[in-house]
Amino acid sequence: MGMMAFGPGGFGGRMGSTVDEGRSYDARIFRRLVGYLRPRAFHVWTSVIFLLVSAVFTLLGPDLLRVAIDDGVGAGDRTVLNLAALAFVATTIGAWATSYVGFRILTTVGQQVLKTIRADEFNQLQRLSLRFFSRQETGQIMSRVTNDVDAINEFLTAGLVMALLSVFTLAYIFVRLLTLDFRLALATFVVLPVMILVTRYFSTRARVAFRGVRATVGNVYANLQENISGARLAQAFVRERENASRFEDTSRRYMQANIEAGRVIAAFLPAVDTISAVALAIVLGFGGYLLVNDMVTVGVLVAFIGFMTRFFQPITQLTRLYNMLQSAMAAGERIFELLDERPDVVDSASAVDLPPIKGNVVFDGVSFAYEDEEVLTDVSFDVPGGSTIALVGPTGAGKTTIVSLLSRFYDPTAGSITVDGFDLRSVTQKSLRRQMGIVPQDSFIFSGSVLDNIAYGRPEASRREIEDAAGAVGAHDFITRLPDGYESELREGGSRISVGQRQLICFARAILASPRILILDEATSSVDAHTEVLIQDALKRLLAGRTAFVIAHRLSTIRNADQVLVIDGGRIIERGDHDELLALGGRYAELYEAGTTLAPTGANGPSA
Amino acid sequence: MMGGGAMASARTGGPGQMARMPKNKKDLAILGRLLRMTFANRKLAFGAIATLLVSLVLDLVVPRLIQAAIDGTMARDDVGIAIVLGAVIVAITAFKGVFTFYATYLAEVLSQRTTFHIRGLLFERIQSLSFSFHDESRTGELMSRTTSDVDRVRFLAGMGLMNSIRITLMIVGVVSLLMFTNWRLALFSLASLPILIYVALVFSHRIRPLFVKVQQSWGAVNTVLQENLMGVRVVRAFAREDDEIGKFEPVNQELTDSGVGVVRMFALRQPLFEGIAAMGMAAVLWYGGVQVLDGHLTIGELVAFNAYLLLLRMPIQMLGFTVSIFARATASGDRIFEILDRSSDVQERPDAIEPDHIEGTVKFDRVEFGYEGDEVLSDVSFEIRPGEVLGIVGGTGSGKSTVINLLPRFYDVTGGRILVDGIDVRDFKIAPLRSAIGIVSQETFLFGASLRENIAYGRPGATDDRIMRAAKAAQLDDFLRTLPEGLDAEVGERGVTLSGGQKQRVAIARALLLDPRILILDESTSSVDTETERALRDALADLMQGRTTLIISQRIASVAGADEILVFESGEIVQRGRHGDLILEPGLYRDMYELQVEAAAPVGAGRQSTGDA
Repeated sequence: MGMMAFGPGGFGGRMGSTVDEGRSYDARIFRRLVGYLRPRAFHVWTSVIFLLVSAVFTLLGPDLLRVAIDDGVGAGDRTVLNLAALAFVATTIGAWATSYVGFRILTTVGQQVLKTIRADEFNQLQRLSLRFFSRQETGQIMSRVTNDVDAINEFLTAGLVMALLSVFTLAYIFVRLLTLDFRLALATFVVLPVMILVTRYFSTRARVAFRGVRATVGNVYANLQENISGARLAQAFVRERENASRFEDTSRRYMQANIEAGRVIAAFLPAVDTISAVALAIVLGFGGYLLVNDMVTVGVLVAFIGFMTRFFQPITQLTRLYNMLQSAMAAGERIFELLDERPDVVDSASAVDLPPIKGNVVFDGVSFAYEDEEVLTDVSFDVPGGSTIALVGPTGAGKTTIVSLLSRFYDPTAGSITVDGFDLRSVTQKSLRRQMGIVPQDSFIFSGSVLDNIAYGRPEASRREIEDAAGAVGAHDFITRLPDGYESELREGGSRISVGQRQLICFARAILASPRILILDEATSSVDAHTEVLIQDALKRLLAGRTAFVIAHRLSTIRNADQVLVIDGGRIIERGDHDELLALGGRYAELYEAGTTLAPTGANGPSA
Repeated sequence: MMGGGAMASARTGGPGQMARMPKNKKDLAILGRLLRMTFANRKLAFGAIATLLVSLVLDLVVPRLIQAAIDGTMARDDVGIAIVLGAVIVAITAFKGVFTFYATYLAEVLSQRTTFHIRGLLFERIQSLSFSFHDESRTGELMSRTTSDVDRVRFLAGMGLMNSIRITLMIVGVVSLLMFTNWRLALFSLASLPILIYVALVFSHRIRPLFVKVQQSWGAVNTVLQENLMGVRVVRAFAREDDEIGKFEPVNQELTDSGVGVVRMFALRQPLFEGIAAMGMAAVLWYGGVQVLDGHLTIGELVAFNAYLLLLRMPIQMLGFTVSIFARATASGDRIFEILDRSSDVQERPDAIEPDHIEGTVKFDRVEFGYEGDEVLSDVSFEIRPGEVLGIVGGTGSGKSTVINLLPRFYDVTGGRILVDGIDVRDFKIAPLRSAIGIVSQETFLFGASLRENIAYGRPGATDDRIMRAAKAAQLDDFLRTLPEGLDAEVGERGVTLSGGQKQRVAIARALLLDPRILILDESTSSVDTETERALRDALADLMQGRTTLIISQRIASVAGADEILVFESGEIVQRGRHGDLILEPGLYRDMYELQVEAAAPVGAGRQSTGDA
């Protein structure tokens, strides 16, 4: 066993402790993975039957050989020889056909199971609340849906049934060895305990190694995801070399984990080989003794050797399968971790669909903490349906949090939020959000046409409605100037349209959804003043009868509001309309002052 | 001895034979490149092959020993020789084990190193391709090429290469031994070989397009998934979860279908190859039996012959598998080289200048820019010196941001030229040019790391002292004080835990830490409240001393103090001058100014005024 000279690999020490406590957990993962096969049990069993038949055909080989040698060649009977050869051809074709049918069914089922698992994961991702996504790296999640599912591929498609077949083969050969020659068989089985010990040793090590592989591959994904989407920034800051060297570290750890797993497996096969050679030596020595004393025929001895070489094949196979299982368990663990993640925000069992609303919003003593850090404290306000409320305050004051709570992206830690008297927690999230339109701070564009992007919230909208929405926010002109107009393809990265234009598309998207409550979170921060004025104009029309929440730093937007809340440090510190607040001479007046003094004095220089 | 001779010829013939398997030249070229990359690791490749050869020779010895044992025992009626030979077999197997281990292990290391190398190359290439590449490509697709496709190639270096050597050698070795034992029988047993090779070629040809489809489907799945995750807020906000599931379904189905196509070929593969091989064996058994009956062969010889034929089972089983590895690696290799061979639109000249110091004089000389015939900028000329501030204003989509994307060569001009310190930017080495420019772009992309790492993005390893100074100038220090972890606070991916204004200030700090000669502020304070903005501007004014500054803004207030202001409309400069002059002449600038002053006008202008505008 020369491999020990390499010493323990990088992961051996760190992950070793989890090996034993993981066993019962693995049984659960195993059961759940196998559970995916249950709806297709008929197909699975059909394929098992075909494969068993195929195995029997294959296993007839050594016996046919024995007959051909002993009864044909040995006895000088050409007919027996011819028949045995014919039978061999027949069993071969039989094995061939049954194996093809069996594997074809099985692997197809396997692919469908993988599809189901991926779909389950994706559906789960649609259920999880935003808190989850702010904790998890995108690349890590992606690796659970793609790479980890790929890792259970082999186990589900081939592994399980191969294991079954190997056990069957093993049992058949075991019996056949005993019946061929009882004495020889017992003598050979002396090596079995050693075999079991060796197998156990290696499987423990393999398990540790495969965990290492799974754990490191997620980091590779995460690193890639961030750096590919951030490639523009890397170039701007000449970070390419630094990023490459960090990626190299991550990539190298993944490589080392793989090499460690490869090393364990590479060492196992020669060990099994050696043990089986010992068994072979026993057969030769003891069998030779029996042969010399005419207690056994050459044919039996040859068949015995034939069976015996096949005896160790399934054992090797089983171990390979065990490794596969280890890899699958490690991947399954990560898959089920995702599937078992409980969304923070869930529809209660008694949740009802929110009927069409007027848009009366009441925050009553609402507090919210994010990871033990209080972000909002005792916020109460009342917004009559159809009115506009502006949220003003320094960055990080909690304005976005207020609208996030209203959208029920999170649930408040204390207090309640009601819309038309319905507590948000008593209605379904969908029925609530379908009546809201949000233009978030970060304008997100999906890959697809301008048309698709605007119609995102209402895919059934007509072309006319889409153009009207675009027109209302002043986006129509620039869209028609794009090479393919509304059909122009956009990319997530946003490429050829400016940030302001992206904001306009997102704005149009929200308008088109025709929401009862419209939330504008710095919706026009990158839009030029002229367009902004157009939008303000259009908003007057659009907001008629709708409730609107507006977060903005531009006073022109704020001044139109029926009510202004000044937020600072997670509390409402002032409230009233623009004139009242200005007269109050408090925080709002200060912010207003800062805003208005800019333009006239700016002429004196940048340091004004 | 025969084995040795066979090996020598197979050593050169082995990989070559495999490489000939794919039909067209392009595939051959891809395979060639992949193999060259593999063999770049000479010592490892040599070690893996050498140990493999030794273990293969030893593999061929064992059946001969079994034959000798049986024949010897029968001939002498004495078990002694069988016992001795049994012991020899154990010793040889154990000895062989050491070589088998190293052969497998070194091959694994070789393939892991090779893919590690390819991953790194892909990463560097993707990072360095110009913006126009990133405008076109999808993150999910690029990820899938860097992970899934690279993984497919991995098997080529290890298993593919080693298997083809093993297969060739085993076949050549066994055949030679068979010839030595009984040439007539040997010729008979070889009949199935040409059929096997033909089937292997057809198989590889058929399965190759299926692999391409699988990899393409992976790209599609990754893309939908990645966008869904990045746009999760929008998905939730519009309650479009069901549509997203509907978007995922077809790509998931496509991946499944292409996967089924491949596994069905696999299901056919194994029985096919083994079946053909078994037929060959049946023929040998029958013919060999006849030979024994005719007295041309001993039973021991037939048994040994059979044992050698059994040795052929393994390489033949492997053949189908190995052919798939090659087909698969070629399919993925194609996708990998597509990226690696992509040359960046922005190239560094071989004789590019590495400046000692960039002063920061910027001159645009009749600059034009367009994407595929779509003119974005035309005839833009201006000059700005260190210590001066240039303001750029204009409507949404008027080309303001494009101007600053050209300066650091994120794109190259399509007409005219840009000079820095009197030298065309295309004559500079790219890195020093970009290092001299600090950009705060309108979209603040932050990484899922600590504040320290985000601020020090352009200067990894900067001291806390310097980071804090940049943070202070960006008006971040108050915020930092409220964080218990300070600079170590994690900002979450894409800065989700920070407000828009906080993110922008982190981005400002990030640019300031570079201590750039040229500072570009592109709508850098759009999400910052007015009070902070003023403080920020005061701080920046100090920092701008002696530097060249370009400010792009919608807000007149932000550019009012500039030494020159350019007013953009549809990619052209329509007005230029100082604030004081521009507000006096009729035009876009005055319109914008009036709009904004009015909007910010004191009480009384009231609610209606904006509506009337």
